[in-house]
Amino acid sequence: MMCDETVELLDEYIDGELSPDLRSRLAAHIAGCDSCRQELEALTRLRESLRNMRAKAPPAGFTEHVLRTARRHHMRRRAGVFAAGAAAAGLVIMLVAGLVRMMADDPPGPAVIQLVEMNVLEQRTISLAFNSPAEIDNVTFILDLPEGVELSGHPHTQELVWTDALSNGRNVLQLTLLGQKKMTGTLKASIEHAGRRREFSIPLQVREAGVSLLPDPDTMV
Amino acid sequence: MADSLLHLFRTRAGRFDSLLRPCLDDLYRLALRLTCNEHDAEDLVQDLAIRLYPRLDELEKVECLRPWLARVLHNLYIDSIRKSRRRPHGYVDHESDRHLAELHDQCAGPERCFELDGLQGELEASLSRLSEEHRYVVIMHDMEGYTLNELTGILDVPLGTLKSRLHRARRLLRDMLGTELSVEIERASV
Repeated sequence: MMCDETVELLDEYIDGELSPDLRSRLAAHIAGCDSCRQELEALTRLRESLRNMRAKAPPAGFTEHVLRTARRHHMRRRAGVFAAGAAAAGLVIMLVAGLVRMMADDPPGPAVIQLVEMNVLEQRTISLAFNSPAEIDNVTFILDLPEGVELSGHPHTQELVWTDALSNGRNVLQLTLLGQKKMTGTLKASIEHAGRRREFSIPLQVREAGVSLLPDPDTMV
Repeated sequence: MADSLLHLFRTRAGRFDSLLRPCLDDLYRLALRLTCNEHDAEDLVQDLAIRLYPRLDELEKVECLRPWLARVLHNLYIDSIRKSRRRPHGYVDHESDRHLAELHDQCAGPERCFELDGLQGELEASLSRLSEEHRYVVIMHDMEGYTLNELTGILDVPLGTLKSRLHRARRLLRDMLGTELSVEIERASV
């Protein structure tokens, strides 16, 4: 191997991109050639220096700020779309709960809640709509399902807990329920934030398939 | 609750957070190397995050997120340069190389972007004198560690062209550094 050819291949040599055969031939040449060895040393030193040039770390709080800004930017745009999408989906029931009272530490007013009825092995989608007076981070949602009802896709699970942010205005959470056996009970949906908690009770009734879904006099007030 | 259940129930914000959070430091550093300005770097990464948020479903399907994000960031940076070129600033020249060189003359300076010592100060100054296409390949390959194969996707340039640019860029840097590099080598070998 000649010096000209060696020098041309040094970049690929230090990048480890040469075939084993070519690499060993080039190494053999370098071992016996001071000029090419100096070329290699200069190139290696250059690359080490480049790799050691550490760019400054982002300022404190950068990650949180970027994620929060992206989320809020999207939420502002999404608020209207979300509500419209929910309406278009043909909701079975809509529960509207005011978070204003919760945030203001007033006693919660009555939420507009109605009985949800379904047959065994039937799916029914409900939507919980939370009106929030502001964008709120770190809101915990808790769903407590009664025996005989499951959330579609989550078999044998009676309690679900997760954290999310609320956007200013209406936030709609869609739940697809699956009736497993005949029952009458209550789905409890709770939201927690900053040590305050508000709970909503949604009456559920699952009937045997084929039975008319007339109101059950025992559950009517 | 089982992890799988948590995943299914995690909201859009949570899913986005877990995907992007581990990449943000790398993206900021790459943005800082490209823009040479902390404020512009922050804006570039923020712009990226805002644009990606509605594309979460697509983001979750990406197998190798780091080079994918680098490509999007690079494209945004190029767009921002093009937009600034269209603005009626006095310094704008229609010859793109000259214009880009002028843009880089406005870089904050090495001491503001990098933690430097000795040779590295000279190196940063030399880097800023390279053309954009040579600077990109050095920044992304030699400094940020993207492989040449990853760079073919990030920069949308064939492998052979990338190798040629890298070879040329390193040669230019060595020529610009001249004796500084030789002194460093001698110092290192003592």
